[in-house]
Amino acid sequence: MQVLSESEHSPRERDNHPHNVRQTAAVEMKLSLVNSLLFGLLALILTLRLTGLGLHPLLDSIEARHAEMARQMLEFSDWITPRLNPSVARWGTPPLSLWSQTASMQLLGITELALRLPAWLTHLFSCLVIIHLGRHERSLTVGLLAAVIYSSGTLGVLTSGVVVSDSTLSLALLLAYAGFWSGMAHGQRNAARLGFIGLGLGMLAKGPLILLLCAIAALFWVAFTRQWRQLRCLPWRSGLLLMLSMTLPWYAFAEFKNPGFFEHLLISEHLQRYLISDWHSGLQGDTHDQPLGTIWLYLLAALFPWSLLLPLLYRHRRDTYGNVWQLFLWCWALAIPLFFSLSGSIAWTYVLPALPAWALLLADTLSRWRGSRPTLIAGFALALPVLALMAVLEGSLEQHPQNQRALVQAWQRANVAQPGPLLYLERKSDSASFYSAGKAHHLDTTRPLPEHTVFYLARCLSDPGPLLPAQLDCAPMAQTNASLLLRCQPLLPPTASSPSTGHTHL
Amino acid sequence: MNRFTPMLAGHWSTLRRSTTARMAGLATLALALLSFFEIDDALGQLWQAHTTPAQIRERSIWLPNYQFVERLHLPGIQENASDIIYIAERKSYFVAVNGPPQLYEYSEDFALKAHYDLQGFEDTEALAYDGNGNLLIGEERRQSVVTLPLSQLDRPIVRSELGNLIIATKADNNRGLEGMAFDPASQVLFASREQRPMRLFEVAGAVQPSNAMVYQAAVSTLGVQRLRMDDVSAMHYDLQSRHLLVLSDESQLLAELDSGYYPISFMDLEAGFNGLDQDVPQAEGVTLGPQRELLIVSEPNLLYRYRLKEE
Repeated sequence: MQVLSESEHSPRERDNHPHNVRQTAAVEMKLSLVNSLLFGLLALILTLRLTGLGLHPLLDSIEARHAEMARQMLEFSDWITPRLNPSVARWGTPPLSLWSQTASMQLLGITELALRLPAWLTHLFSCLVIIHLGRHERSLTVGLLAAVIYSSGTLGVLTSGVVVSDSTLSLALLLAYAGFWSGMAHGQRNAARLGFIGLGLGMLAKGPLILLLCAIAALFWVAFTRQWRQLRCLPWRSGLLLMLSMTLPWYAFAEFKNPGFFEHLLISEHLQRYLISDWHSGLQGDTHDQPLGTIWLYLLAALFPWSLLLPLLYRHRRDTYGNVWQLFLWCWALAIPLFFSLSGSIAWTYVLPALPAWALLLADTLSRWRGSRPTLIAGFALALPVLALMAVLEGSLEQHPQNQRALVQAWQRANVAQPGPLLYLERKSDSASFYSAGKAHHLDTTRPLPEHTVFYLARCLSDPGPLLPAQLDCAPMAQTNASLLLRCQPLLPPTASSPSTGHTHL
Repeated sequence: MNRFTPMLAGHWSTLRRSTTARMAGLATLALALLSFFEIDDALGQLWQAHTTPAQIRERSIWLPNYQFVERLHLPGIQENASDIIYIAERKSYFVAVNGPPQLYEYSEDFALKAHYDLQGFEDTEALAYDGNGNLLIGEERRQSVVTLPLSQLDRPIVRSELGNLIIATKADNNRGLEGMAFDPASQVLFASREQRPMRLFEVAGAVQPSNAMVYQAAVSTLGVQRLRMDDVSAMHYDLQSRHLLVLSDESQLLAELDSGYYPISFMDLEAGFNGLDQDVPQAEGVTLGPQRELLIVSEPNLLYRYRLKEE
């Protein structure tokens, strides 16, 4: 049974060929059933993700780093300057996602659930926009199926429940594209203004990059369809005013408080990151030197398991020749991977804003494909969300040294009887900073260990780091997160009556 | 019900022909058989061993490494053995009996050295040592921990003369404080409530103020959802690995938890696991001996001894 046959596809087509009332009623019942099933499937996927949000700790480096910046924003009530420690501003990303996380923590408390909930809500809102687009241009079935595909691919599952800024950018770009399409194809000026609001949100989520990403797809589409004149129908004046009124206040405050910020964001975080492979800004720590074109592999991984069905797009290419909506989706789907094909400094989350377009393309094709089966759709849709929840419940995420929650709790327990600071030697853990409310400190080689006071030292079991000075007596206090917590104190000078029992472990 | 039966009968022939239904039936049968022959537990242990990194295993108690050696009847005890602790300073094991409340002291080869009546005590279910000359005795229904200085063992032990710490409000049934362990280095007391609801508590800074006979310490409840145990009957804190042993009588299981209360390794207390020839009837206490041998006390008066397997 195919999910939706060609003849059942468009209500308009059905009206044009009303063979008999009974057949139409049966088709409508079937459509309604399919839509209910898809809606139930989407609800289940989102519920599974929501269930796991608060059940696993924040992981170093990116998630914990964003969480710590949001916590510091809350602690210092400074909503302008993102920072990882009180004295240093971090201008890698504008603060929209940090604002949502900080506001959530203010409402719900400093918990993993509060931090991840904005990402889930952003994802939910993205699904609603995708459903609206699909329904408006094709059918409710296509919209729902596209939302299911977007939510159940690898990157969709991941970003709907982790503390990163990419989901905010993706929603902003989705709104921008939807607004552009509605304005250009249907002349809907208010919807087009919503697109400019999307651009404003994107400016606050990731910076001026959004203008470029939106422009590439839009200009390609306009060039292919030769609709240059239609561009004049967009509400440029009111739209730009909306966009600037949203973005300028923060950019002005940030530049005023930190002169040189805009130049840093534009030149260093945008241009140099794009041009220089293995770029390190200190914020997005995992952009490594990758061969050019790696973004396409990331795209396949991000869409998995749905990427297995991508050949269907090629097989059904003739169905959509000359269709401007499909052409727009292709421009949107290809613009982002093409743009990042020329950069070696990339992360796999960069493809997220392209996924709604790929989901809509796949949903449209699947709804026409005769081999489409409800069990296949349900199997593909539930595989990763169920696996993700099982991984969370199984608890193996808690055994990683990238998570330091349990170790920090062990330090807090031991700290009651014998207080001392928690130190990380030649190793930085934002997870430890977050869970200790900024009390965990990182020591590099230039700063010596305390010699006259008790302190606690966290060491990774697989890579203990440098040897400790011989004059320290260090004993293990806890072992968890593949790490060891040592309590260190100055070695007492040996006396004749009581020889020292002090010893240094590791 | 009357409507349901004919409907089911009507659909039965369709169900019998359905491949999905057959697969689901086979899967259910396979799961039932796995559970009946306890193959799931054995597979679970193998999975744990496979997925735990070597550097964590090496720094753990690692229960799969233990082999059952012998089962003894504890001399002097008829029934109600409830917990065991080894105290290196006296080279002695202490075993608590909960009815009537008594304490038995044994040598390292389990010869009876002494036994003590515990006057005024109720349901003495748990033992721990604070590393500073004091035996901690947990009372189940009162959910309190009484501090008994070992130096006072040569005179009558009267509860009202000893300091005590209340872990929680009184239990109104036999489901109160059941297991207890102590970390002398961080001065943290671990305690468990047996069932309904099963809870683990940690009491940080559980050092009794010298001027208070009774005080309520700050207690935090720990998540135990991953333990997969029906109850907690005893605990032991290992100073070498900094890990916690948690014993379950109803689940017939011993689990090793790391300092974040994440399960590291498991040991089934049923015949066939770790060389055990018969099921442990009612496991009530656990401790590690001077040679790191594992000792489990069971009702009525049984002692199970496990040794590390030779490499």
